[in-house]
Amino acid sequence: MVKGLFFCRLESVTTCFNFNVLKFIMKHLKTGTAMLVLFGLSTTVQAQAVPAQAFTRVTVHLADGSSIPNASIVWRNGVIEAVGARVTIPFDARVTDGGDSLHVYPGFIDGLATWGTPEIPRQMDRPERPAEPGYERAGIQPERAVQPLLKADAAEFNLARNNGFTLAAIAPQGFMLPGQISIFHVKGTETSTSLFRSNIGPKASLAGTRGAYPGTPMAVMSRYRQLMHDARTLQTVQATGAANAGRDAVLESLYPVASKTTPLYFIADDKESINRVLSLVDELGFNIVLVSGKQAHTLSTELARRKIPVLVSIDMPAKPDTASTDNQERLAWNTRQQAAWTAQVRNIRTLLDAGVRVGFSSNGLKPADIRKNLDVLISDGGLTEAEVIKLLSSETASILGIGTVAGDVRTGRLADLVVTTKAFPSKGSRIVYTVTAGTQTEIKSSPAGGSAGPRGRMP
Amino acid sequence: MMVGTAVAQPKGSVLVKNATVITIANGTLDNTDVLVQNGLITRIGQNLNAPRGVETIDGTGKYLLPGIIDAHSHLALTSINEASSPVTAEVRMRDVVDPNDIGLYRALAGGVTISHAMHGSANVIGGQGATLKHHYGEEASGLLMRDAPRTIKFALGENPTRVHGQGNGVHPRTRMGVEQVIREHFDAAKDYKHRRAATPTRVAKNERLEVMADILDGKILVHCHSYRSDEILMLMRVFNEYGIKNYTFQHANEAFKVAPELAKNGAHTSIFADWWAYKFEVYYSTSYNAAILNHYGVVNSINSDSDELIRHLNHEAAKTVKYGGVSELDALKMITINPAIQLGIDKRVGSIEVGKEADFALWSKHPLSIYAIAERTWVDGVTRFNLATDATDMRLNVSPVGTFEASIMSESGRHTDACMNDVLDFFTLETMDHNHE
Repeated sequence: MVKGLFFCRLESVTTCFNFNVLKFIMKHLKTGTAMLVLFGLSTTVQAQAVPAQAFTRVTVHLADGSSIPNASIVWRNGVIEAVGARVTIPFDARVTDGGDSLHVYPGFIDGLATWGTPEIPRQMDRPERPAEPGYERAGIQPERAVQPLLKADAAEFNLARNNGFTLAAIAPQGFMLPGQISIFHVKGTETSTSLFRSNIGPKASLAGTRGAYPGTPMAVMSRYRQLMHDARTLQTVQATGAANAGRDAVLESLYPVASKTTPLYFIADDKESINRVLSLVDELGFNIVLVSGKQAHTLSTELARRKIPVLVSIDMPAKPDTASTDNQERLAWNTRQQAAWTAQVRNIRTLLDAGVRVGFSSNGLKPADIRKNLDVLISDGGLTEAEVIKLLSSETASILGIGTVAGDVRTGRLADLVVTTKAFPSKGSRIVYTVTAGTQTEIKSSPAGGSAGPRGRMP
Repeated sequence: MMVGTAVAQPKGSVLVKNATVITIANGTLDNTDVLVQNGLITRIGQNLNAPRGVETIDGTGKYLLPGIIDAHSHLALTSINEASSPVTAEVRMRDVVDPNDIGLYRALAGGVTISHAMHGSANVIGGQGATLKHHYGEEASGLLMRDAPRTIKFALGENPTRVHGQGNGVHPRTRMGVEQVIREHFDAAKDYKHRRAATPTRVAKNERLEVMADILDGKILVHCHSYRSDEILMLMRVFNEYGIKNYTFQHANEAFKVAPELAKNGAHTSIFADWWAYKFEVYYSTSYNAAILNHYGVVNSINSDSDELIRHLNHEAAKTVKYGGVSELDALKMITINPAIQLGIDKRVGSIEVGKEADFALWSKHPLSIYAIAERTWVDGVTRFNLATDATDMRLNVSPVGTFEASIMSESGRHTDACMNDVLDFFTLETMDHNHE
């Protein structure tokens, strides 16, 4: 399927290694032909040092739900150069012919993943002073970067790419403030060194640590209050130029939160927890992006009113059984459990209808389980295929603050693409390529959609 | 404060006709009508007519009792003990109210309209309490009683010394140490107030010491878990020294030994009718405790400290009539106006009087009868329990996962020591799936 000539400057030979150019050069070196080619290129094609790549004869699906049949996409240097039905393919482009059957979508973006990060220790140490365990033991590490923690060989990155993910916002695992979120290009084993945006904001939750303060949500809430008081006071004192103001990396990392220039990416699922977070927002005056939000639908109007976006989890429970029973209380309970399941599966629908901006976060859901749950969003969740794509691409990009550079198949955007055999995520469609920041990968074994029932962690 | 999600506390109107009205404040009135408009009792008398649109309830042959108030509860809370520190004055139970707790509905079925949701007794100075109106069906913020005085939990004796002294190797390890922890934190609060007043921009607001300072300033009512008479005397000495008034000893199984001293200091007690022997410091107990305290003029209430016991506090009050001959009125005061006094809400609730909030229940018989059943319960004039018409399943929040049996098992009942909930959990160092909750 690959056609076209490969030219490149001598200095760029290594970047073209994948295109077999080096092989070509070595083969013809003795004849002098290659010498001519190389010499000539080094003086004439410098402006387009890296060759273009292209898909032709594909159906392009944009994030807004519209599509362009029989289209081509050209990208170079990791950026889309042209999209449309009448695109001129550059002479140097490596072309993949879609044969009028492949579908191209914006690459999927995970708004908050834990992929490749170390698990929380199964057993915590007993601190010498449980009441004052220090920031780290307390789970208060908003200054901590995730980059040094990422495991380079994490199999999840390959799985994520095979499932269409090209960008992932990743943060450390932990308790109330486990660390900063950074966005990575999902490039298999190269992911950990493929940083796209660093430290976009701290991940936050109401989870207490174990065996030390704060251990319960009520103490975690008090700790947030104290942290914000301490941060604001330290910032004020530092601003006076006082020599003895002191430094505190944890508090200083919260200055952008206190000034509302950076949101807290706050994980909360049930209605009461979300209400607790909202009460902290009101008290302490910071902005949030709600993460996970499995019951966010219960507060959809309030979230819309406050313009709080949600990076929603699709980790949905299996459909409950409806065993027949003579017990009236149990019968009533069964009916209500069914309703609760439906409400949760329709979480995103309800949020969208209320006008809430909704993106996606895996937040612990395994990449292999995502596809099946996407199917459920369409079969039972009331979403259209276009809405699912938008959720996974432009909306997540926008919420992460990268909406102008990623999340759509448009000129000037990051060349992050997913290519499928049929319209995605309809039954039987299979991912055959992903393109991550311009790097094209053929997917040999991606899951096909259409299998029954959602998959997720069991309670 | 749950500012952003606060909802107005609902208010209703109703006319209850021809009931035996146990007013608590002004005797028991036969064949009497009570009119409620917009959540408040507006008229008490005979031959009252319901304004247009107001429901009329026939109370013939039935008893109308003020809503029962439980001054010691851990109902409808998602966490109870922050057991990591001997002092956690900064934590607020209002932050962790669970409005979906079916226990609220069961309490309503026992005529209970208000409970005092308290921190546990793991810490010498625990968290701040929340006075809840049982508006079952509303959000958490709708349960918080508007403008109720702030309260805080203290705890003496075995629990804090066991958790911190023996468990964590920090003081207090003894009852002497408990006293010192209290003194240290009051002194620290005084020092903090001076420093912050002098240089407010340099001294950050301290959540814990602000609360301690507010206790010293009389802005917070102390409810202190206690059993032994010596520690009860100790705390009264400390409070006298620091000028703290209006406090209540919770449990106080040995309060009968120091009833005159309690009365002299104006200290209140909130006790079990007959529950003891679940740990060493709770052996020296008597079911005559309430009668003796009442005899000496101590404002005493009977509490539950249990999601099960809260359903029949009328029975618990009746025990004081049986053991010690407390009058029926005084027995009922112990579950109505007396706990209201202890929570600082007696001007608003705890009796059936014109101008008061319409929290009451209609009972099938005299509420001190073992055969009495609460048939309908109102909170602020809104029906929150109706035996005749409520649905079979009144749970508010059914989880999409799990089984019916498991959901019933998870609903709490009577614990031997509810005050110590979460403590074992605290000592477990194994992590759960925190990151993805």
